[in-house]
Amino acid sequence: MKSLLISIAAAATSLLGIAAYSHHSFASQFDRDQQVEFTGTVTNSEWSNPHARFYVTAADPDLEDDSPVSWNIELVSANVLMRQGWRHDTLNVGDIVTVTATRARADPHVVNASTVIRDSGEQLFRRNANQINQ
Amino acid sequence: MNRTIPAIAAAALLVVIAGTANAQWPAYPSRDVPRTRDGAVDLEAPAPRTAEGRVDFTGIWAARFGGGGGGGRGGPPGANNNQAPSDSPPVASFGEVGRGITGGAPYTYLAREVKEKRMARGMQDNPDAHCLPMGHMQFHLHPQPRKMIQTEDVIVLLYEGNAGIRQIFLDGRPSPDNDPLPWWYGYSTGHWEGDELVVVTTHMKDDGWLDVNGSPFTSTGTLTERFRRPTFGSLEIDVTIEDPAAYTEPFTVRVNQRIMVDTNLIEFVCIENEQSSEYYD
Repeated sequence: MKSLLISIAAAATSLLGIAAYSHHSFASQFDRDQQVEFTGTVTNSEWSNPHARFYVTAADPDLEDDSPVSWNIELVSANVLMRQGWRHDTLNVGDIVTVTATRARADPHVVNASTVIRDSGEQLFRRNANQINQ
Repeated sequence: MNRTIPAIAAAALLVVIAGTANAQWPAYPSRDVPRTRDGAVDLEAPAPRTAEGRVDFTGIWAARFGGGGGGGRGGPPGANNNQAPSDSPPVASFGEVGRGITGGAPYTYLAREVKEKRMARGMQDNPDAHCLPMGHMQFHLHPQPRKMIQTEDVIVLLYEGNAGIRQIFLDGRPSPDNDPLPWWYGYSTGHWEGDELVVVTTHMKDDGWLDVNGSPFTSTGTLTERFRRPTFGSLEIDVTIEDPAAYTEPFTVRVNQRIMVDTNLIEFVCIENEQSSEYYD
């Protein structure tokens, strides 16, 4: 059950032929075989380019130590988010979110988001077909 | 386990399939947009014209791309599922300029080696990954829009992605012959052949990346772009790539774009929060 969101996101991604674009090559920084899901509290957000980012404190589900760690979560560009309805204050410090993401090769707590869902169930973000190669 | 997770997951899947809300950028109506009786944009209306009677390319344009990009960045050559009609050049993808060409673009041996090395490094040397200007085909097909501003003497292209700027001189000047500095965007001059704008670009830097996969382009190359606006809503650009240092013969590919109305470009400052390069080799 823990990995259900990951599975759903992965299945949807596969079904729709979805891939995310970064200004960099996704594969050069992130490892598609290392998917992760975590729920935690937003500690900071950066409304910026080439990628908007936010930071979450949450335990790493793949570590025995369940102490919270800080996650650096990469989204698409602020421009793309804005066209999807985001604003600079869509995410705020203290918000609780569940993130499914792909880990960076060089740092397991730097991730590229696949989905971001509020604790209310509202989906804030997903990589979608419109984000291919953006 | 928390019973809300399946519900959230199901809702997430539903949203994934349904798509997200679109276009929250402040709407400001574009002028002179042809409309159908129900108020929709008439994409099939004739292309607008300038006071001089030229086809007017002014507008904001979005790349039309299908089956492109992503992790594979364009997939294997010949796998294009956004294929043009049989009488049209093969359609390029953002990731792979020769995607629609059986066997791929006609690389020289050395150029193929260069491209393979670039791909083996995960395309991390793509100038765009370092906030430097993209290659021309990347600019044409980048999912962030571009704006064309046309006067009688010049067209200015503003690319939102990576904030690229390009000038196409229409005032009859020749390409320079005084050994100017090679430029990321090259030196572009254009002339009209009926309703088709023919743009020739030379004087580009070596080590160019035409596409995300790293198809090379060098200072010996010439790009010839034929711009057409068959309808109000569509833009076709046939790009002929000629570069004896990288390709065994010239080849031509098609770029398709569609008009965007009631919107504008958004500022994009790439270096603002560039962190990815910290992870490159």
